[in-house]
Amino acid sequence: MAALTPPAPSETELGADDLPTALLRTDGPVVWFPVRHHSPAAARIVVDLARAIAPAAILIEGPSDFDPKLAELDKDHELPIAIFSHVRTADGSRLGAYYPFCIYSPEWQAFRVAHELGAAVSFIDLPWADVASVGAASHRWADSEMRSSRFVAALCRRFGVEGYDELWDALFEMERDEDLDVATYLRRCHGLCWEARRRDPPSPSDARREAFMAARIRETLAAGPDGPVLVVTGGYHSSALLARLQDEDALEPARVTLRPPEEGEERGIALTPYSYERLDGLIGYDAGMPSPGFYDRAWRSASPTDDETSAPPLHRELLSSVAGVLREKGRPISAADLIAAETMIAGLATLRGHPRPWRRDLEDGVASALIKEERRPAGDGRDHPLIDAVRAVMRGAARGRLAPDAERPPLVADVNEALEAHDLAPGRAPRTVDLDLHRPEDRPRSRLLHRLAILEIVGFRRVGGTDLTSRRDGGRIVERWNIAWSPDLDASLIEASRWGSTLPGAVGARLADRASRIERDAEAAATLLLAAALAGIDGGAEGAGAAGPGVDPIAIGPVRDALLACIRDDGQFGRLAAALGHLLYLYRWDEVLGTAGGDEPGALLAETWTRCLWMLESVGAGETERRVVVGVQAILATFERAGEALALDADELVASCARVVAAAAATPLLRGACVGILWTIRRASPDAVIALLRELAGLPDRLGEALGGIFATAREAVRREAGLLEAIDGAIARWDDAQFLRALPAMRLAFTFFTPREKHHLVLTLRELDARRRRGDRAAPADEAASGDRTDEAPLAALVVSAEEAAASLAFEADLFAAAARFGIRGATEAEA
Amino acid sequence: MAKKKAARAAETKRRVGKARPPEARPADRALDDLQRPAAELLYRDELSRLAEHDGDAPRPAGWRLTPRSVIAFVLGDETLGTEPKFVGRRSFIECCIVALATSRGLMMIGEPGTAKSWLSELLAAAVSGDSTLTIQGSAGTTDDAIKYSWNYALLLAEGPTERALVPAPLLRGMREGKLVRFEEITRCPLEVQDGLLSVLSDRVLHVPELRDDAERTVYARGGFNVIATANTRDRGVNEMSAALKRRFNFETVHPIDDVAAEMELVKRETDRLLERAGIPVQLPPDKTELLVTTFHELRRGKTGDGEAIEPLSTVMSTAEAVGVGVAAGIHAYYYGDGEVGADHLVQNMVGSALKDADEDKKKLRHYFDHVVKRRKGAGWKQWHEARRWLL
Repeated sequence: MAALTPPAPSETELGADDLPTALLRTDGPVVWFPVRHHSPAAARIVVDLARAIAPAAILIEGPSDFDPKLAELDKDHELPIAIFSHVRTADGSRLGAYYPFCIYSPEWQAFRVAHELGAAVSFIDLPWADVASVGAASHRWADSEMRSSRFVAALCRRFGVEGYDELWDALFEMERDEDLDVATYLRRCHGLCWEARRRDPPSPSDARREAFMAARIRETLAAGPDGPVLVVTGGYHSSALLARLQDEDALEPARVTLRPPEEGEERGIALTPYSYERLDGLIGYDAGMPSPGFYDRAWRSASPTDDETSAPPLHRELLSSVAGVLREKGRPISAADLIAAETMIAGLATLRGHPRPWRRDLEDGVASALIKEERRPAGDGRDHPLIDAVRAVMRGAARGRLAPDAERPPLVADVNEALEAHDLAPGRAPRTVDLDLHRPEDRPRSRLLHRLAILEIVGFRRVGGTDLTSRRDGGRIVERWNIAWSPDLDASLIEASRWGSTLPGAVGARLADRASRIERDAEAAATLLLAAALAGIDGGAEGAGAAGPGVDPIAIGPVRDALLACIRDDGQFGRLAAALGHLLYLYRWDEVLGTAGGDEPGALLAETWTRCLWMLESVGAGETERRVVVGVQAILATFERAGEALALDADELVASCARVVAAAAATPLLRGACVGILWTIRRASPDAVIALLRELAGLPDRLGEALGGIFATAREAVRREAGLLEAIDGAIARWDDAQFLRALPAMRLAFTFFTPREKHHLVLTLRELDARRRRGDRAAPADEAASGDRTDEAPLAALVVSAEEAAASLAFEADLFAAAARFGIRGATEAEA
Repeated sequence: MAKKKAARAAETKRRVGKARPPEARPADRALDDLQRPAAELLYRDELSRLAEHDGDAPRPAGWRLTPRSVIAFVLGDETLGTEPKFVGRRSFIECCIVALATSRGLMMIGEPGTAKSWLSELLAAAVSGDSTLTIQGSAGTTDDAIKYSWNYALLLAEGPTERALVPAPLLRGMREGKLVRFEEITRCPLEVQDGLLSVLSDRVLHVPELRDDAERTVYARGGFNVIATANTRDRGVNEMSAALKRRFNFETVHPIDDVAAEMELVKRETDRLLERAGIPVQLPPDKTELLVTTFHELRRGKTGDGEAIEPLSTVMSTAEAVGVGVAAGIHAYYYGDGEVGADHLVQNMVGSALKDADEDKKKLRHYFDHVVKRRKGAGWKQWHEARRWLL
């Protein structure tokens, strides 16, 4: 395979004839070092260069508001970690951004070498809060300028590579150390970035950042350093910074004033653990260099610490890792397959002119040699399982951890303290915590856990218990939580601190944020209120009571306002009625959340109830029957349980229901349910109900629906009122067989509202009616013709059974009961008796 | 009826990619008379120029060109003066070429109409200078058609001698050190496929009937390898034996992902086929856009804006798009004013692309009613009006 000819990409192809020579000088007062963020080659060269020129100061493109905390960076962290900068803007939106460091980051290595050499270090970029906007990339070192450069695209075509990552690899990473010295690196990288910069002018935000960085460099120079200043920035900025420094006119307005924090704006900056998974460009949409695990290995295999033995080539090491992963997944690879894969990898590297097999060679080679079927993307961003295995190995599993003494945001301490106080701190082994919300000592613990869940802190998961959203099983409110320590716990707490510095504050802000995203969906807003109530809000008559550390009540103003807005805007009856159900629960039924009888839930409930009444007349066909029924029931329940306390207007309810009952265009289900309400609250006589049934008697399928509505809201009344049953019976009797069959499904459904006991009662009543009719008791208001038909019916013919058949049946029955008794099935014993 | 249409589509598909290179002169009678010249004939100037450029550069044994020149031949290279012949990712072509230089065969799989056969022809032409050592796989393919058979008159007269032996493509490829193409390999019975096992692993073919020991064992010369193609819509590769799968590197040929590149290809090929048929009609660029966008979206099951639509069960391949373009061109020439309109394209889409799939006709209508209707621009309006042919 060594027989393939390599290409010869040369630096002259980069163009860059008129590259300013000052960029390449390493003996001036300012030395410009262009990096690609997260490039091992840049990291190696920056260390070489710094050692060679012994700079007095190293200025790094990083958030300058971290400067006061630079000592934090020097603690004993496990990489990767990131600087996490967050801001809450005056309009309330919260934005966060990361500046990740891994072992092979040029910024990290520049920082380390500065300490080694005793040089001053400083971050010189604008604080992120200054440039933050909703659309800004949250990974600040993602090289988006170079990725989208037209020059880079043209260069890729010329070099026959597929993208910026491959181009960078070919120009820098793959080169053997001895072939890529400082001068070569500077020439190539400045050349590449110079050309890209010339073709694509910078964005206004980039220009602002550059002006700021230039001013910082000037300041450093003005202080009279006793050695050169090494400026480490993205290559895209180097030439612009040089130009700004050379430009005399730029001296005057050079000072970029930082945007002062606005009223109500909150900023924070802290270190947070990071992971290779998050760093991998193949997963995140604005991540930087892909496959951090691969470059990590490349960095380590190149670093001088382990060169005493001849380490295996990088690709072979990775290939054996891939084989290991696949073996674990139960898909072992044979030696022959490994040989074939390695042959492919080497062949591809040679054909592509790579000095050594590299990232894409590995992926393509493995895919080509080992996949034996159509390679089709799985759809959800995943590729063939084999490719996923290769990528997982190249992604690496490294997770950072902050040094124990590293400074953390106040929220972290607040949460940890609360967890300790309530004996909920996660240990190494996962555990399950069962809470009974009726026990006062469990309530604060439940609130704390719900708060962590709202903040999406990893490791706290509710896995079972009473579902308050559906309220199917509201007898006893219990919860089961799984608590497990996760390596991401620290990171998720630090990142949650963008919501606030105390737990109640952060939860309140997070809830407010979620509330602001709800549009015209009353149900979603009410569900959010329910979640807030579980996390402990103030406002109940009983008060938050047993509060402890971290469980002070949360301010729910924004959630309430959002809910109120949704109630007024939501045009869907089903969603409004579902919200009504949640609110009624909070106001009337709740025994454990401390919201019962509260003014706020009460006011919301009254508002929702009124709005539901308005919507009742325009319930569309779009709602499912189930939601209509549940909704009408909620209206009735609210009136019955809270009508007096909240002074709900009975006349309004009566008027609305009466209009629906009279509206022929409304669905029979809704009309039935409304007439049922009127009957239940004694504002309509049974005659009104019977009148509706008579109206619909000729439409078998509609009658069943109307019955469903009536039974849903007037279940008790129906049982008491025999006349209604008689009217139904009369209507059914008039149907022929075909009509009866059509009505049957809806009728069956309607009668499912009753319990078996109630059904039994109904049947008894019917039999009585029938018996009365057979006796010719004309006093009953039943239909004459119908009862006449009935009495003419012949009695059932006797069943003729031979003695043998009877004996066989009895024997079978005996067997059956014996079996039932053996398995302890109910009914067997009675039969024996 | 369906069979006839399928045959027509197959013919169209076979002709896609057939190209008249710029250097083909009208005086070149021999080439012009051929209905479909092989790639090595069609592009012989390009191939000889590349060979010259390669000089003595090292290359795998038996290869006419260096692997880099093979890429330049297939994907085109401005500096070397070769035109692009296949649209696909460079890394994919690289994998194919490297596989051919290893001890495994190359298996190309993919949807119908993704130009697998055309790519295999190009590779054979570039690597061996001969794309004619081709075995067509079918239910009726026997060992005779793959390895060798006998001239029965000579066999009776002389017994099994070298003279009586009729070598089939595989034997010839081994002896001459050339690539052998095996089309639609999964359509062959399993036992016939497995006849390749020893050839691919040991690179040896036994002819036990011959008396001379030296002649009885044929060792493959450098440059021999097998390019097989298989269609994922028919009997899939799942029915191949694991032993045979191991001896191949699998490469999936994906439909063209880049709409602009597909438009260019469809227009170029349609115009070329129409010209060859002596019809002075061209596919207008705006109509190409409508046709290719529709095919592309229906194939992916997603519109350009990312909205999901129901994908058709019919293969909406690039080759089919060319087929529709050509049919519409002929239609417009003989029965219209010589201008390809939306009506011609839509009408022919039903006949030559959808064939007799009624379900697909409904889905296509749905696409026109919901996606096309909302599009702005006069072209899309016409396209929408032409939906009346989708009854």
